[in-house]
Amino acid sequence: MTAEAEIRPLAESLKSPGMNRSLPARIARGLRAQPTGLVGLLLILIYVGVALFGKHIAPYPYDEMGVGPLLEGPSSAHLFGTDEFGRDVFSRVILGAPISLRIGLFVVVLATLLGSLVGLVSGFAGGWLDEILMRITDIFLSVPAMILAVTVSIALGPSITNLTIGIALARWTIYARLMRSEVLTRKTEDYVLAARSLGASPTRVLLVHILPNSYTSVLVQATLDFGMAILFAAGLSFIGAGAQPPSPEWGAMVAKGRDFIRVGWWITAFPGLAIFGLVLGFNLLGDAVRDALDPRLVE
Amino acid sequence: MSRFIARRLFLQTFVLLGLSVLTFVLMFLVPGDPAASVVVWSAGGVSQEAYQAFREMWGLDKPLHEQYLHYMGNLLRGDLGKSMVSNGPIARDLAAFFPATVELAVVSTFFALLVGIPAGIAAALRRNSLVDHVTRVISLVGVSMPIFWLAVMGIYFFFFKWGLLPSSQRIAISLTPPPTVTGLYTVDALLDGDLVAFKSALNHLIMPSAVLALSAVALIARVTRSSMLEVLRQDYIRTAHAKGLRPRTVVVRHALRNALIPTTTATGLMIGGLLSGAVLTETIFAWPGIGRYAVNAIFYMDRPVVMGVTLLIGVVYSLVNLTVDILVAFLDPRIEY
Repeated sequence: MTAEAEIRPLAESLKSPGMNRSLPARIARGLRAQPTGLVGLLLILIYVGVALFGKHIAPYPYDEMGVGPLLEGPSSAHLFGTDEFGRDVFSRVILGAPISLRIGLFVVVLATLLGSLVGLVSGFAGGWLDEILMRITDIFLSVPAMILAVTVSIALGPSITNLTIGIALARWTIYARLMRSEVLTRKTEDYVLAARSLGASPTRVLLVHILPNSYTSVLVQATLDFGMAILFAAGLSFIGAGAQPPSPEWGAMVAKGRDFIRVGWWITAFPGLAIFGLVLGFNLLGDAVRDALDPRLVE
Repeated sequence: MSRFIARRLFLQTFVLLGLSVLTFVLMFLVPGDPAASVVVWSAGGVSQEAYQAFREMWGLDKPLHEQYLHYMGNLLRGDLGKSMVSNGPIARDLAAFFPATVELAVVSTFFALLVGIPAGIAAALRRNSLVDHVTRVISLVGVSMPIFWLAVMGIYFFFFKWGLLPSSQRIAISLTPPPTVTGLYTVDALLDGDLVAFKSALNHLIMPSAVLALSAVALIARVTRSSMLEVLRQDYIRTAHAKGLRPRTVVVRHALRNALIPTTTATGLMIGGLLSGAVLTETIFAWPGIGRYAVNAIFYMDRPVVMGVTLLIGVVYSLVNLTVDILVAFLDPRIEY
């Protein structure tokens, strides 16, 4: 056992800010303990690589028709076969990667920002403002996520941007609650009371003393939500409430392939597997991160 | 306890009221114009007069708060209004479509608990064993799988390729649905003593409910595993073992009772997820439930229908969670209200 590992429980028990929360270190330790998390990280990195260099990897542009015969099964010339317009499915799957990654990122960033802001204000201000903000959160929570997201996206006009807004509006509530409960705990801790008694302004207490010590659970949730957001977005595009053809968004590709499922299973199968692999990557990683940071599971 | 229930119902009324305002405002603020989308849809083109007439008929030319009060006034009299597209009463549509979704959700929940709880217990009892790892991998696969894709691939294999299962609707077209008692085809067919209809209804349920249950199984297995692990570490479990009780008794009588409390809570939350998942599942399997009904309504900006479905789901969801809270209070005597 290293000296660092021996000191850690002591630091935990001191509960002082900064000492016990080297977040990257704890995550790294968790990943070492659980190799499935590393597998997840590797999967994600592969997808990111494909997204960044897709233009150089893909043999054809995603929308070029007639690069092969129509509806031909996988072959060495077209690894994932061709679709009903003679487009190369492999190229389309490759060029769909940045779309899904971007949706996941924007949803998580938007939802985290909005939710954290509401939670921070709600927990810190307390009183009637807290009451109002939390009831608004309750209302958003009671709308079925799918219906809220579809409504927003359809109403604003189905596109990837509006889809992102729709999903973020359906997901910010969880961050608001997490952030609020963190802030409520921190608010009564000695170092915050000390800062306040020294005359620090409320803004300073909030931003310098409370916020840096409150974001852990939000961060973990965000990791777990990444995969969820991608899955959700693909589902919305599948029913026509998101990316529109000829976009190589994977959910939209599965939807189109469904019409040709009897004559060309490959048009549906490969984009679906692409979604599955990416979401699995995020879930493997998120799972390991959560286990690493959940004190109840530490042996 | 009854005070707690009364308080919850009272507060829930306000949340539902808020939900109605939110849904209403959401559909008003957005640029989508229901008059335009419905008139185009029904007439194949827009004439200015038809458009204006439609707006007046539905009161779309009135200010928002008047429209809202009008809607709520009707709602209080038990009138959910009519669909802008079909002109049929929404209450009748909901009565027809809701049982289909309930049937799907109940079978999925049953399936999820039947598989998820034993899997979670087995994984916890043999931590880090093969059983644990397999359960973990299966639940991660379950939550990572795009269910719409799984549904389409399922139709390809089980319907087109092997011809084992039907791909759409609730019952074979050649059969007449059983007389409506509960609205659940399987139950109604049994009540009617019609075994052929029962078999067909059951067959039609298998694929949609299995697909819908997948992520739910994963969730239940995970929650059960982690709460079981926590309970097994408690002192009273060690005491029970020390008393010389059979391990089986300790697990079933002592550990499981407490370990299932978080599972109960998760089941309530899961039902909300199932209702969302039903939107996709019902669309793919042409299952005539409220999920599909809602999506079609949203595409046409059919405001009264979207309002009706959202409120219905909101009511169901809050009742389910209230029931769960009451159930948990019974299971866990430490909780006081």
